[in-house]
Amino acid sequence: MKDNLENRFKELTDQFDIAEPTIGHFDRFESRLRKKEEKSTITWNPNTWKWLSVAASILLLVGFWFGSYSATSGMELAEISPEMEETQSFFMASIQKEVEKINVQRDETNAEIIDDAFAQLKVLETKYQELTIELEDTSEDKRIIYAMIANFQQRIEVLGHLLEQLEEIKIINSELNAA
Amino acid sequence: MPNTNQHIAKLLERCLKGEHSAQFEIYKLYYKAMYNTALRILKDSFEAEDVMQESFLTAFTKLGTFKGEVAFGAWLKRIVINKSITQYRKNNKVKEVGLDVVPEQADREIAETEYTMLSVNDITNSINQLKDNYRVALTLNLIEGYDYEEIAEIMDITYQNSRTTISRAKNKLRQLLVVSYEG
Repeated sequence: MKDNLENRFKELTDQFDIAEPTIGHFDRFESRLRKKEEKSTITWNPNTWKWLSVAASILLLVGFWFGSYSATSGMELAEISPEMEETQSFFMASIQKEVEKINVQRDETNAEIIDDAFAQLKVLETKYQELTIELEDTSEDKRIIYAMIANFQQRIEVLGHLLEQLEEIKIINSELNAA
Repeated sequence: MPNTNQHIAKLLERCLKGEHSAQFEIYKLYYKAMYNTALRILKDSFEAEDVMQESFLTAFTKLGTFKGEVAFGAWLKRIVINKSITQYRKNNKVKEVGLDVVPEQADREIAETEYTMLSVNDITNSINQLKDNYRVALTLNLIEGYDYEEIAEIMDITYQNSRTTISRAKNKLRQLLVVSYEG
């Protein structure tokens, strides 16, 4: 038995879909799509960031190996050995370069995620400062040195991820403009 | 509509090849309907978006199994509904006791003419006041257009249970609509 209530639903078919997802859902979907792609296309195809961190790790391990021979007490990585100094300046220069690259791209569409990433960077920097103190206190505990190296790598990852997001935003904006 | 169908078929072929832009086009075409379907079941915009987007990703992964016996939209919607129901069950495990807020009301049928005055908003508001399983069963039946058997399968209940739930839910909804009219 078709009653009047059901008839009313029939009349209104397709009119029930009135809600819209929260603004930014296109961006969010785009980045999920990308993440999935990266996972499925097994990435031998080099992602600069992965290479950079591999390169950095090798450099660091070499630096660390040398560093463990010439133990002088100090706060910064650079004070442990000339190799560590080289490592540290390599990281600092990379970070600086990426920050500059990002600052050039800043506009109103991406200011929020840039600020967000920079805030994460700040947290890592503060953590690093704490580690330099611990490094001195523990007279160069290897674990602290590893933590400092990891800290630099994390900062580079944050920036790398941000650059990817900026790229995505660019693509989406151009697609939206084209549509 | 044949043009649209062809357009979608072409897009789907490109999706199968993993073309990112085609997948995004498909998303643009269907996100709204799929989002609303998930939202009606989950009643939470954040969860609805998450489930909806996850469903698209699943659909793209499983696209090879889509043989075109039904329209792509219907196939996709079924994925959305299944995922929504799974999420809905997770939520309900946490808060098992849903209060039935339907006010007791003397049985009174709305006159025939009054139904034709009901707006989408009236109806949606009233449906959202139903208890969870009534809401889900009823939206699947009246809005998504599934029959008792399909709903039994989706909600993993017996055919008899599906029938009873829907019929009770309809009665409650009628009562609520009376209230929204007189209120």
